[in-house]
Amino acid sequence: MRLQSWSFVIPCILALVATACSGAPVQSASSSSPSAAATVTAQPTAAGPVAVKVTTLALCNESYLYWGMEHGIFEKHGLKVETVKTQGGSAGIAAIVSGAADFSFTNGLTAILSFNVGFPIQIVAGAYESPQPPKPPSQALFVKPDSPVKSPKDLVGKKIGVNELGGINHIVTAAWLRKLGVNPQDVNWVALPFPQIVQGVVQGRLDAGQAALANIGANDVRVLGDPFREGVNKVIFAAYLATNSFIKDHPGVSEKFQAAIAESIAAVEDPKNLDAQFALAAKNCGNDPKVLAKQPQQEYEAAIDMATMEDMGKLLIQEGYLTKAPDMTKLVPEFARKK
Amino acid sequence: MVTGRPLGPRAAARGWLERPIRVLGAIWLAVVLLVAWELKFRPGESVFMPPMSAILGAFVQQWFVLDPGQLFVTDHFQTNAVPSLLRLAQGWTIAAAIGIGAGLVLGIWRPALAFLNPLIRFGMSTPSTALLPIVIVVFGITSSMNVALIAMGSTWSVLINTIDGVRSLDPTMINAARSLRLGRSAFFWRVLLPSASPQIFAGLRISLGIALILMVVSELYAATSGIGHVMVFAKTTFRFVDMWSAIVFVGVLGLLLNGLFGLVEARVLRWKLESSRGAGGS
Amino acid sequence: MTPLLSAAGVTAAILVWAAVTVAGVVPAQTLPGPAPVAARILTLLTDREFYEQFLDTLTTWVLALGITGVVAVPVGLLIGYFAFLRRPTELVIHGLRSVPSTALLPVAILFFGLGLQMKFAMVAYAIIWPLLLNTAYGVRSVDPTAMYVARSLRWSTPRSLVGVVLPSAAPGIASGFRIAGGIGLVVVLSAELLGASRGIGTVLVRYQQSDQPDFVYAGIVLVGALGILLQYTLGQLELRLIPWSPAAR
Repeated sequence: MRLQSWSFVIPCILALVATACSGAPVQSASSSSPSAAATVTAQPTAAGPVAVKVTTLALCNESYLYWGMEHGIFEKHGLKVETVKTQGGSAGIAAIVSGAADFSFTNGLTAILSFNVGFPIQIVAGAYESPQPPKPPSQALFVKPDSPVKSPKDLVGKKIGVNELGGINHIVTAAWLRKLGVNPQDVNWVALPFPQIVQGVVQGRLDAGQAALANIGANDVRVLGDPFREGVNKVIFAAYLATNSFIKDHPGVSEKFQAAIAESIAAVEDPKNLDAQFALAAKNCGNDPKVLAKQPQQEYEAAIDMATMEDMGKLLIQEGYLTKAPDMTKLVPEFARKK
Repeated sequence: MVTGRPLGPRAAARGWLERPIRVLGAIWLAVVLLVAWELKFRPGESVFMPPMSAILGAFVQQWFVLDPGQLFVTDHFQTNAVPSLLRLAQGWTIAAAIGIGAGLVLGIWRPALAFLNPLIRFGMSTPSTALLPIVIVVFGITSSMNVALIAMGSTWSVLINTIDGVRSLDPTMINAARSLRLGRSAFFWRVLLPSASPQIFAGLRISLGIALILMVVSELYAATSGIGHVMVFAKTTFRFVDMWSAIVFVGVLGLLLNGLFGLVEARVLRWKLESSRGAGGS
Repeated sequence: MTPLLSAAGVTAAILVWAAVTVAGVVPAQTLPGPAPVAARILTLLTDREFYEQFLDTLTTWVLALGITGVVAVPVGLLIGYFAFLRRPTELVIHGLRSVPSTALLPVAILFFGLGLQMKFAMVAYAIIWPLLLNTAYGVRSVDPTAMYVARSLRWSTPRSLVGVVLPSAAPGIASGFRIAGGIGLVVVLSAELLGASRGIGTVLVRYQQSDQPDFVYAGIVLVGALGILLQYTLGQLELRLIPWSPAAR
């Protein structure tokens, strides 16, 4: 009995010691106290590349990132990229402000909102925007095939599933409803992870859901439309943010990052690389390359369109998240803007 | 505290101070912490941590209003706090009922306990958020779903503490009951239940705390209203003062619930405290 | 007899699970049956990356429980022993313990980043209160006769605290550790499900996002098994270290 009971404890202690000695918490070495927002992660060595930490959501859309890392594009620009997995864009912002990462993968609306509240951040590179015609739509507001809801106007008082309350999908869908004459306050918004939204609609738990066509996959639903097409002008779906102190303390690094992203994007959009690109993305995001190939592609763009930023500011004011648009020129530095 | 000695004139004159001094003795630490926050986090010091004065101001303004017609609470309170509290009440009551009922049965009937023990330990270790998909399917996106999550997460401590309370029944008590020829029913109500009740109450107190937390957590997703709903919306849109105001609300709620629970507990367990005091305890 | 019954209980649960899936009460896309989940469990157990994440979670749990315990037990003893400390601290504790760790996640990420430190902070915040409270309650159940003896032997306060109060409060402290252990595991997982970058929870989230529920539930089963194992370990430690505890009866 004695031996039996201790035999549980000893392996546990050994495992603990082994992990601690192997230096598991490497990432914590870079996190610092909030008042010292200057990071210690980017260490320029004399001739070697600069190590930077980039947050990722491990999305299939981030194929350019995987390509750039795999094919040495970042290295060509003097950067060594290490990815840090986060759950969402706002966690990414917290990560760069705390120093746990250098570049945060965040959507455009969140970036504006956080900047407006006083976060010391700037957008250093774009990733992708909502696709415009003639490209096929990539998002959908959908219902069950036999649902009595015929148009979004019928959604008053009903439950709509979105992935995050106050997130870009919620805001854009609300804008579309408002455009059709529905007050978004009269709708019940429910936050759920994307797969749950799809299942919720299919099983009749939700009256409607908003998700990417990629999330819907083969499930049988009726699409009411794409809120990102019908409700708003172009929006910046994803971009990369960095803190003011990082940009100041590491001159040139953000520019190099932006250039590397632009080149990686050009590479994955090259028709020659399509199959390889899907295979690589599938490997990193846990999906099937054939499925990826059939999905609508994002509008990749590494430079920020200032007109789009102004539109997004107006959208946020219209939906009540801002009273006054912030100065976008302070949010987007010169090198990141579309010429 | 009652000594039966009459108060001298000086003590009687001091009597009116006693109440405020006792209150001060209880709250000084809380006040110190609040002041420390206010001194440390001045406006603009950190975006995530607004000054305590701003938080408290928002707290009062968002949840309360000086209108007896509205019962002194704002519409915001009615739309969000009331549903949350209802869910908490329902969920915790269900958890308490199941926990105590099943706990008594399992505590007495050893084979059943052995049968279910691994499942109980397993259930304790799974975070309720992981079971969210199943609960949604079964209950839909309604308040019942939140109630179910709250109940599922807070039963465990009541259950386990009840089982422990029943099993730690002093063997001499059992013998005494037997020699007094107490019937089954009398044994249960007069010996077993009272003996286990301090442990049961400890479990209920813990589960109340867990239920409050689950009330908030269950509303982070899949809810259309509630304190957790307000909290997560404020967090995503970077309105941190509002987020902290909701957090303070939850903290105050926890204090009130604990206070109420303590009063009820003291009342019900009065005999136990008195008997142990009589035996020379402090 | 007892192990047989326990095994029977587990078997019965698995059968119920299979029945629910077959009957279609819950669609297979939401809750897969035991067979696919069992297959995935084997896949995960042989996956090196899963093993590393598993160790990360376990390490965080052990560290948080150990270090928080080392801080909480002495403080809890003091709170329980000195009456003037008891009421103000209990007030603050009851207020603070009502706030879910998850609500403080953004603040935790801001201060500690996304890794071990942040998860440690979240778990420590969640478990320090039950540890403090249970230690304080344990002090209050100290046998007054023993204190009387210590006093008549003219033991100093520190010596009484360590020699009389601590052993008497030990069963209460142990129960505090068991509760903290249970809560701690759940909080580590929640932190990983909601924001951290390493740990079993992040694996679960990845499979959840890519809509592979059989992996998700395989992970949950393994986590539950871990929970059982950890609770058992704590129970065994209690038996070893505190033979006079009522749990040993």
